[in-house]
Amino acid sequence: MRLAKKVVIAVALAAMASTLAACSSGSTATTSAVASKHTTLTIGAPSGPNGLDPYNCGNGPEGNILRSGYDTLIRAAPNGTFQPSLALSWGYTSPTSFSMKLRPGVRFSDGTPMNSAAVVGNLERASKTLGQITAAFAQAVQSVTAVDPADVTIMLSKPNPDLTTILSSCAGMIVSPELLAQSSQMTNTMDGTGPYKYDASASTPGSIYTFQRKATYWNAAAYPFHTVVYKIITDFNTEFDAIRSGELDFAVGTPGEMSSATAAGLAFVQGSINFYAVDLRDREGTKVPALNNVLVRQALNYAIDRTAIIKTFFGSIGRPTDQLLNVHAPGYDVALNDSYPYDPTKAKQLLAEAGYPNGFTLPVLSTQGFELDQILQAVGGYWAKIGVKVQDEVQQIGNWEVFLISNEYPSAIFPFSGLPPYTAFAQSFGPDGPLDPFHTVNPAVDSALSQAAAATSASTMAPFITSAQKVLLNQAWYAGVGYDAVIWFYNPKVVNGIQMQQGESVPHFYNWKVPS
Amino acid sequence: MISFVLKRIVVSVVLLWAVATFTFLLLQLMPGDPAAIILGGQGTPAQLAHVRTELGLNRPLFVQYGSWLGRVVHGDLGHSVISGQSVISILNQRAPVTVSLAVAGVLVSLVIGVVLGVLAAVRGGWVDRTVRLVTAAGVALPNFWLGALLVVIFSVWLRLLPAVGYASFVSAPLSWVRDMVLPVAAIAAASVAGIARQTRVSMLAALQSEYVQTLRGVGLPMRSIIYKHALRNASIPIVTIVGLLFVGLLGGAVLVEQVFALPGLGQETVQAIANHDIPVLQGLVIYTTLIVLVVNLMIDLAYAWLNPKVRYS
Repeated sequence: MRLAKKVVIAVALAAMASTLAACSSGSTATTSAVASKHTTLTIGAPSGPNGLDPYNCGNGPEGNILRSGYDTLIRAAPNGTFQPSLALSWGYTSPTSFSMKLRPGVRFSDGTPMNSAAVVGNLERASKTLGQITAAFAQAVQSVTAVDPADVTIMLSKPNPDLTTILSSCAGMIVSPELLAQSSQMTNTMDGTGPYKYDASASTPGSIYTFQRKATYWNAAAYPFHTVVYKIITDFNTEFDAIRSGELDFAVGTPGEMSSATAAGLAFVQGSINFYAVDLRDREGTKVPALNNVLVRQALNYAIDRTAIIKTFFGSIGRPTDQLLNVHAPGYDVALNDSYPYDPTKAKQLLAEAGYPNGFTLPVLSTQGFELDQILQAVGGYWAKIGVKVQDEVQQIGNWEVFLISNEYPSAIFPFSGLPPYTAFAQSFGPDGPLDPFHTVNPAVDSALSQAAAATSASTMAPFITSAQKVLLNQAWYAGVGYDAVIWFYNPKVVNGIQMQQGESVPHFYNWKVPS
Repeated sequence: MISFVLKRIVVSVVLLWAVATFTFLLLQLMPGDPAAIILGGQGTPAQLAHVRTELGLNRPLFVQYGSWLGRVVHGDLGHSVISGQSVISILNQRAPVTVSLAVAGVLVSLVIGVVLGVLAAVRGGWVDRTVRLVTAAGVALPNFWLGALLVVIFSVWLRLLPAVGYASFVSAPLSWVRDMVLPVAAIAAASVAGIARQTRVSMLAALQSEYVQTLRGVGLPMRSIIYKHALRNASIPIVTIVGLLFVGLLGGAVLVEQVFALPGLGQETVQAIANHDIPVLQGLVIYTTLIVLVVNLMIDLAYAWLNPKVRYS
């Protein structure tokens, strides 16, 4: 037989074989997918946990992976309020004392009962394990005590009104005492009171995390899916292709994909997490004398067309504003949203009045991640029109985080993201805030923050937060741009009931429904 | 042959040490602070100092190097500063993905490339022109772009193959094949082109050589001349390329693993760089260098088998 024919036949056979393999595997997958369509939920996530230790989680999608196996002490509801979880009730008995009553009858996967001793062990570990999620807790806590098997008291070294928020995050996840005693095993093992059991045999760390529902979970009604599979897909285009092809039921998206997603029959939830602003931190004028003048800082605010910038980057679902507080956050005041309407003429007048009719040069610390540098360049374009030249000091993300807490640069652009309001304000503008390296002192701000810290509930804290926000705006301590938009697509034929979580980048996997 | 292998092993060990030391020093120049990354910008200066002490970053550089080298010699590549997991276990978990991707890429490239190269050399004419055009396209297309295009066509539109996912070859070979069709196609496109072109050139040279003319004159069947004599001699430079291709595919896997969400060494590299996870990065370099050295040794042995004229003193 001639060579060409042989080659053609060989190639054709190979193609048939691979197609058969693909189709047979695909058929199996499709069949099993149809059979388990309403019992298996496949969730895409752009990032995964760095190990299954709860204290390795940030505020991203990895939180849902950990929440599948671990309950938190308190649950954050989508609207920003808090609901009972492992703790049935809680509250401040004084600004430095916080008590919780635990839910009875809850057990870990290994059968051990969840009680105050287990909670104390976990929180003591949180106070000693320095990580992104535990740093705030470690700074505030003095001691944790089991009053009786159902009651726990936390004593604080200094007031911190955000303990409820902290305990609703990964820092409040409770691990079984046996696993806690072997904390090195926590990277690859889970043993919690959560709704699902981690199926290591069907998982590949860093890529796929599979969970099987527990029959005896205390709140089984909130989790109708028998199996949950998380697939880590760092490339946004790939993740979008995967949900369009039906391999995922829930995945992160971008504003530009909304029309394609809708055409593919997908639904979406949206929220906002990051507030973009240029922090004008050298308010004493040690490096840039112009920043010492409030008229200059106000001019920088008036010069920005927030609506245009936010629309460019986040479409119609972004939110232009100069108020740092997010909607529903304690202290949020809708009247503060447009404190500095776009007015370049007024901006120039203020600069001239301040003695800078020709503007000045402003170095701004930036980084490539989170679209920060792109937004800074947009802001710089508006400032250039009033004579203020931005000196873009781009640093790699690792260096950027180091410089943020140093006084190397007179200003910096960064996202105020996902922190509760008191913590956000205290860290960035408080007298000891690590993100205020120039340690600007303003008696009104410091007083408001002190009174907020001493508050024992969100409602009593709110007026002081509002007061601090007003001063920050009036004194133009930062030049705000607005809130971004976060979108998650989902297949409404497989799941619904998803609600975006206030102040977080991902909806919590809780109370999602199987469509009837 | 034994002395050759032993000499290569000794040279490889020295080379590995040099690469490891150079990488250790280079990574010290990498901007960023692991402590700041671990604390996510929320740590006080005291907390940052505490984390740096825990990680041993406050020690003099030569002390850190000595301590690290001592552990490496004993097979301990340290622990990830982010997850705490042992670097060896992380790499062992991920290596099969990347190696299987690279090996599959090489095998597919070899089979298709040799077939195309032989066809082009033997048939000539429009076949040769077509092969050269197709291979030129294969070289020009970036593998990550091609990968994204294949996903759109075969996953989104045709729903024939998955866009993401990886199943172990050992536990689910059919699923592995299904999951790897698109990634291998993306990563192998340029390699097919390279092998096809080299095969074509080598075959043309072999077919025009005097011994082939002699064999033709003797009346040997053409099929026997091509496959038994000419291809064997033409394969020597192909084998050399295969070694280089494997190394190139290992590097190309970084982008392809991102596109197809494959949990391999490339994906781990990207994450380790973003997290400033220096122990993992150091381990990755040593691990990958070792793989390359072993592959090159195997290529040299194959080279010797193919060409008896090669002598190893």
